[in-house]
Amino acid sequence: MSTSSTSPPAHLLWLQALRTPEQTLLWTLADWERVVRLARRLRLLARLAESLAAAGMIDEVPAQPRRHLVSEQRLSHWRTTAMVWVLERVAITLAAGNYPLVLLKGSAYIGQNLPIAAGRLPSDVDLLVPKAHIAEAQSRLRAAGWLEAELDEHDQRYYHEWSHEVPPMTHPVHTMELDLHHNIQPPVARMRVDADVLLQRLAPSKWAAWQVLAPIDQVLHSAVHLFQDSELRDRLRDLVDLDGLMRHFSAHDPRFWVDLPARAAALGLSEPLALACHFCHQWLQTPVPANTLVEIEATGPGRLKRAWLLPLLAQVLTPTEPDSDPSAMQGVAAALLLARHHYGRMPLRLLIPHTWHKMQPPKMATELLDKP
Amino acid sequence: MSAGESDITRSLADVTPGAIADALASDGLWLDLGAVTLNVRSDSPVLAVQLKAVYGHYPFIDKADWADAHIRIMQARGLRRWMRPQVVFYCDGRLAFDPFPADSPLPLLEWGANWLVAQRLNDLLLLHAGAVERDGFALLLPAIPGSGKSTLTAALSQRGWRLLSDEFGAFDPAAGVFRAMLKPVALKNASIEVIKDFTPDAVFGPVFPKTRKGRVAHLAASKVSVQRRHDTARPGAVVLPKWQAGSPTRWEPLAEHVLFPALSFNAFNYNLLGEAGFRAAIALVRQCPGWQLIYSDLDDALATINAAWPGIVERHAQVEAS
Amino acid sequence: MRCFARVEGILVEPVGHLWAAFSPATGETALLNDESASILEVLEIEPADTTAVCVLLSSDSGIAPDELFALVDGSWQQLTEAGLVRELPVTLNNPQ
Repeated sequence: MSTSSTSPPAHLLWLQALRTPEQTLLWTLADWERVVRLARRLRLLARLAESLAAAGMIDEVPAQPRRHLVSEQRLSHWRTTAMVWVLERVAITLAAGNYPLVLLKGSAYIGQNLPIAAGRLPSDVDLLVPKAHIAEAQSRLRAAGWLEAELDEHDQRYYHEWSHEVPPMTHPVHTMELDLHHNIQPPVARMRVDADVLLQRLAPSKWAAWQVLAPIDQVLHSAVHLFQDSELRDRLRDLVDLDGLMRHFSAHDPRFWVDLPARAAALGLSEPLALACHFCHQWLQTPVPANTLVEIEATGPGRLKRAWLLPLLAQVLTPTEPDSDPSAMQGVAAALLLARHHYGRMPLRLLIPHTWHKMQPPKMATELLDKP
Repeated sequence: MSAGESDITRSLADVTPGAIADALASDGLWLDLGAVTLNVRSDSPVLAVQLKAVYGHYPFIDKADWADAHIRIMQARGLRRWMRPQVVFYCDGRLAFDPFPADSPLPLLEWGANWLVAQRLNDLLLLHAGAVERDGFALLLPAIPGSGKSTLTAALSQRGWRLLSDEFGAFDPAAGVFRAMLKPVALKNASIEVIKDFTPDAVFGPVFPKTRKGRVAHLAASKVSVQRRHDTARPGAVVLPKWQAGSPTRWEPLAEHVLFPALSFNAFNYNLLGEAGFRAAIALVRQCPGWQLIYSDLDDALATINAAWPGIVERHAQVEAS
Repeated sequence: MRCFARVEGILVEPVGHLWAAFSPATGETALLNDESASILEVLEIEPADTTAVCVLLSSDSGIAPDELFALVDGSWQQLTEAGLVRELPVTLNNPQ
């Protein structure tokens, strides 16, 4: 399949405006209304605004949608400022420890001034530290005023033994939540990743205190974060991020497309990479070289699995139109993928106690029940 | 949305509830509040009547090319539908808020719309305040709990002041003016009777006896307020009201260091606007004198404001002339 | 001794007998008393440590520098957390 002959599904054509904002000049007011509604729900409205602003085209936008673009830009700017401030403060708190401090996901994109750093809407700050130092990092953060949610013994055990992250931390003064990881995948997942392998290949960020994963590892993290998640509805933004990462990194590294499938295989992440490339290529025209695409698809899910998995994913990743109800099919697909998620995240013998525990109502629930 | 409203445009008062219900059931009813336009769709059999009562002077628009927020108030599905009927609030395919009883779609719409507006209009500085206009200048009544802001705003709007909004002092920093976000005034508990006594022929929607915020009723905006909802107002003055049983009326100037936090920290999106918000709040504090108004007698409170107003307007004119 | 600099781009405006200060680093606004606002004004010239700030404030206020020391030294934490000053050398979040 050549890289230029695919065109995206009609209902996703508007996504191209994120990279080529000139096409918005052809949009009617009705087109704008639909896109503003969809993009806002998909957390891409600020991205569109920044794309238009960078092209000097905000003033060409009709007044009614323009105010929404400006409004969302301000929201994005505010959240991004808050995130950068948290990073500054946390860097000071964790400075004395002698271990790498790694930015993940949105924090990393902002820390590298990537094209996809523009128009983000962070609500939490994702960080990675080596597992051996994570308890010490938590204790320093607590001393600086960061608080952990109160968890019962079971949930604490879940986090400490079965998860790749510790419970989120909040701070009375900061609006952002802190998510401290020691890996990008849970240690009990079928798709385990050795964090030490990632830590051996860190790259600098624009801040001296913070590093980022190697570019290819950022792509793989984004892919596994999306395709191993339990909820894929309205996750189109993650595909847009993946497309942005691949375009940017491949433009700066002539070996990118060669190294990407090899590294995925080494980390055991060939399947999420294959899924990412499939959807990014089909829906966003990510310029994956033809032979790379073949190689990636060969190491991804087999033909039988693709036959049922790809349509499910397509169903769930396709955003519902603003005035439509989510299709029954999407609900079924989402439920099937949720089952797959749990199966992929924890071995069955561990899964059953956890799911049962989660289904118990939380304590004090009677106080939270809404009385009409 | 600059609708082609003319003398022949029918208002909601001019059409039947059936026509309103038909619009709600198809492409929706467009409500142009001035600075923002809503599109409302619903399958609730009672919403049409409630809308007609409190939005009576608004033009009946069942076809338009833009809305800033698309709201659907739908009857909840499932078994509950028969045992305890409820309505739910959707915006752009997302469910927001807990359900309301099926006979109370109006308060759900009003509060839900306020919530949406507060979130998505960051091109404006949205003060949490009642706002009325006279002589081209805006009077802001910041909403501090227990202040009686809504009661005073409602009373002013019934006595020669044009209502801009009972909830949002919508300041446009680029243009330096306040814009109307005109909706019915939501009155709670005792305030309902106070205003009904104050203006016996005021148009109210139904009283909803058991909402989360107590008894609620909505006062319809006057015809003039609706007709002029696209007219802006310059920053005039700020009054922090405080109702205190039995208190004589007291009118005391407020220093800037009280006024600034009263406006900025009390706004919905002050922090979000960052530097633009800071500069706008400073500009308002520099332009607007502020007073605290402590009162127990509504008529006297209004008389006090009305007596002070010409002086306020005059001082603005002098500043402009210099 | 610890040296502090004013954060770039802060806005400080008098409001009544207080000062409103906006920090582009935090995106937030703080209300300051005269003393804190004076410290920020002093730092506008150049970064300084507690002693230097006390000397400069002393010449304005007529209060002896060592009487001001505790006040100034105690202000740095709050001013830092409000995103209005930064401690030097700024190694951690410097651009590379």
